[in-house]
Amino acid sequence: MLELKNINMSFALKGKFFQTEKRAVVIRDFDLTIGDDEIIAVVGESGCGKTTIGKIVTGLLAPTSGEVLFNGENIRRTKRNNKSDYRRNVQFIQQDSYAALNPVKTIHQSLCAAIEIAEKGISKEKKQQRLEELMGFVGLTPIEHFVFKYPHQLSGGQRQRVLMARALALNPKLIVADEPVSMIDVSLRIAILKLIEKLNRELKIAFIYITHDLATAKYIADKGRICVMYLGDIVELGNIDEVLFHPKHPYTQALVTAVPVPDPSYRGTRGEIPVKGMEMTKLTERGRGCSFAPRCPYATEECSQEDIPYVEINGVKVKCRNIEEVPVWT
Amino acid sequence: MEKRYIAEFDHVSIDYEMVRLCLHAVNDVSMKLEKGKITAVVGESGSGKTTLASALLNCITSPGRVVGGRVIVHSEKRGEDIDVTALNEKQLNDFRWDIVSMVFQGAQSSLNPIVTILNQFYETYKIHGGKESKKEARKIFAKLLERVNLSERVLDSYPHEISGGMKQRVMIALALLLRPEIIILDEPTTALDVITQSYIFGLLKSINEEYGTTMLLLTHDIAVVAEYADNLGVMYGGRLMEFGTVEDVFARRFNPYTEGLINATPSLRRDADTLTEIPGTPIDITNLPPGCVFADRCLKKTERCEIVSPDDVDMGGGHMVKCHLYAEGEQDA
Ligand SMILES: Nc1ncnc2c1ncn2[C@@H]1O[C@H](COP(=O)(O)OP(=O)(O)OP(=O)(O)O)[C@@H](O)[C@H]1O
Ligand SMILES: Nc1ncnc2c1ncn2[C@@H]1O[C@H](COP(=O)(O)OP(=O)(O)OP(=O)(O)O)[C@@H](O)[C@H]1O
Ligand SMILES: [Mg+2]
Ligand SMILES: [Mg+2]
Repeated sequence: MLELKNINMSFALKGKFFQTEKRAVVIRDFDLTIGDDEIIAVVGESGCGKTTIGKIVTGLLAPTSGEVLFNGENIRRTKRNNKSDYRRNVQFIQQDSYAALNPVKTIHQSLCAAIEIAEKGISKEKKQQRLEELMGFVGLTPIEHFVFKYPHQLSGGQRQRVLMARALALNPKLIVADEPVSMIDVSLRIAILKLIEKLNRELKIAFIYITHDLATAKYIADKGRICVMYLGDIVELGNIDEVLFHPKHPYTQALVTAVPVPDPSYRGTRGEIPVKGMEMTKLTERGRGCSFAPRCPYATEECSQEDIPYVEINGVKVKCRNIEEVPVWT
Repeated sequence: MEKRYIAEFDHVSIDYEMVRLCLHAVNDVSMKLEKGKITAVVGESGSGKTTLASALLNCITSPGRVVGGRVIVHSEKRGEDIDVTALNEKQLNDFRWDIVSMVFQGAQSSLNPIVTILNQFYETYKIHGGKESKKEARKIFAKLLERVNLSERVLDSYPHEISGGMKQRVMIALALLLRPEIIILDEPTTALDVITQSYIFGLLKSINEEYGTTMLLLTHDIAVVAEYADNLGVMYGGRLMEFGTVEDVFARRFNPYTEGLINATPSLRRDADTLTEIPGTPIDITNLPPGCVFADRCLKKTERCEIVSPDDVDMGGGHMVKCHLYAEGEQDA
C-alpha cells in the first residue's frame, strides 16, 4: 500500500556561527514498504528521525529526495482531490499531545470538526452517535466528563486517547502513531494496544507504531515487523521476534540489553550496555559509513568511511559491515 | 535503622471545582517520603499523581485546591518544619526550587524555544536571588551540566538544537540549580529510548546518592520502578491503595489493583498472551462511590467493598494496604 523509496531528509542549520549553510542529514537512504494491513513498529534512539519519518509518511514534510508512493502513486504529484484523499486516509497521531490539540477548543469541538470532515453534512444525531462511539473506542467514558473540557484540563493519557479518537474519526487506512501510549498507564496501554490490534484486524487499518518501548512493540507487532533506527539509518529490519530475541546489529543488542525488567528481583542483573559513550554523533559530523560506528565496540576505522550494504541473516536485514565480529546473541 | 522522613502528606484531599462538576482528584492521601530515598508513585492516567505531587510545591493548576489535610516538609536546609499548604506567595517563591523542585511532565516542551539554555538558567537563577553576573553564573551552570554529562556548549544552544534526552538532562540540571532537598520527577524519561533512559536514571541515582537528594518519581513505567526506586505508592482514583518498599509491594502485592497493574506490565521476558488488562473502565472521580474506589473493577470484591470505604491496614514493616481483605475482625463485625 505504502512505499518509501530512497528517502533522504536534511534540514538546513541556521545560526549566527555558520557562514556557509550546513545541513543536518536526518534521514538517509530510507526504504520501507508497508502492506495493506500490516503493523510495523519503529524503534530507536531519541532524535534518530522516527517522528520525521512519520511526518514524511503523512505528507506533513516533503523529503529532500526520494518518493513516497501510496497505492503506486507519488503523494507529492497527485492531483488536488487525491491529495485530500490521502490526507484523510493516512492519519498521524502526534507524539506531543499538548501541542497537537487546539488549546482554545473543547474536546467536543475538536472531535466534531473531524467527524464533519469525514462526513459532510452529517446530522446532529448521527454526529453525537459517532462521537459516543469514538470516545467509547478509546475508553473515555462517560463522555460528558471529557467532551466539554479543554486540552489542559485532561491528564496526559487522556489527551493521547483524544488524539486517537480524532484520527479514527476520519476512517483512515493507515495510522502513524507516534508514541501513542507513552503517557498511559500499563493497563490502559494494553487496552490501547489491543485496540490497535483490533482496528488492524477488523477494519484492516495499517499501523506504523513508533515507540521507544520494546516490550510494547513486541506486543503490538507480535507477528509483524520491527524497524530499528539509528541516526536516520535503518540498522535492522525484520520479524519482531527474530529481532528482539536474536538481535544482530550492535545497536539493537545494546537496546535490548538496556530494557528494564519489571521485577525488582532482577535488579542489578543487567549487564553493561555494550556502547561506547552516551552522546550521539552529531548529525553534521557524520561520515558516509555506519552512524553507530563511533559508539560501537566492534567497529573498525573503515566502518565510518564506507557505504554499508545490508546483509540478510535469517530473513532480517542488517546494516553492519563487521557483522562477523559481533558476538552472536545468547 | 529508624527511617527518617523529609516530607509528609497528611490526609491530603484535592478538588478541581468546575462549573458543571467537581473532580475529587486526590482523596485523603497520607504518605511519607523517606529522606534520601527514591519514592515512586504509580497509578493509571488520571489517578492524581501529578496533582498530589503538585501539592508538595503548592502549585496545583487552577482550579485545583487543597480541600483537606496538610503537606509538611521537614527541611534540614532551613532547620524547620514547613507547612507548604500555609505558605503565602512570597514564601512559596522562596520555597520552590530551593527546597523542592520539579521536573514537569512533558518538561521537554516546557523549555522556551526562543531563549538559549543559558538565559533560561540565568532567569531562574536571578529569580531566586542569584547575585553573580552572567559570566560568573555561567561557570556554575557549566558545573551543573557537567554533573549530567553535558558539555558547556549546550548553554549556547536553543532547545530545538538538542535531542530529547539532552533536553531532559538540561531540565534535571535546572532542577538541581539551588540544590533542593527534594526533586519531583514527573515522567522524566517518557518518550526516551531505553539506553538514554537507563543513562538518565543512572545519573539520577548517583545524584541521589551523592547529594542525598530525596526524589519523588511519578511514572507509569513499572519496569523503571522495579529497577530504580526504593519505595512505591500505588494510586487509584485519587486514593493511595498500597505503599511499601518496592520489593515488598512487588512480592506481596496485597491490593488487587496492585496485582492487576503488575499483571498488565509487558516485558520482553514475558509472553504477550499472558498479559491481562484490568477489566472495566476508570472510576468517575466526580461521583465517588461510598465504598472502595476500585470495587467496581475488583475481582475479589465482597458486598462490604461497595458500601464501606476501606481504611489503611498496616501489614508490618511500613507496608500499608487499603483493602477490606486484610482488615482484621471486620468479617465478623
Ligand atoms: N525542523 C527541523 N529543523 C532542524 N532540525 C530538525 C527539525 N526537525 C527535526 N530536526 C532534527 O532531526 C532529528 C530527528 O528528529 P525526530 O523528531 O524525527 O527524532 P525522533 O526519533 O522522533 O526523536 P524522539 O524519540 O526524541 O521523538 C533531530 O536531531 C532533530 O533535532
Ligand atoms: N487544571 C485542571 N482542571 C480540571 N481537571 C484537572 C486539571 N488538572 C487535572 N485534572 C483532572 O484531575 C485528575 C487527575 O489528574 P492528574 O494530572 O493528577 O493525573 P495523573 O495521575 O498525573 O495522570 P497522568 O498519568 O495521565 O499524567 C484527572 O481526571 C484530570 O483530568
Ligand atoms: Mg519523535
Ligand atoms: Mg501526570
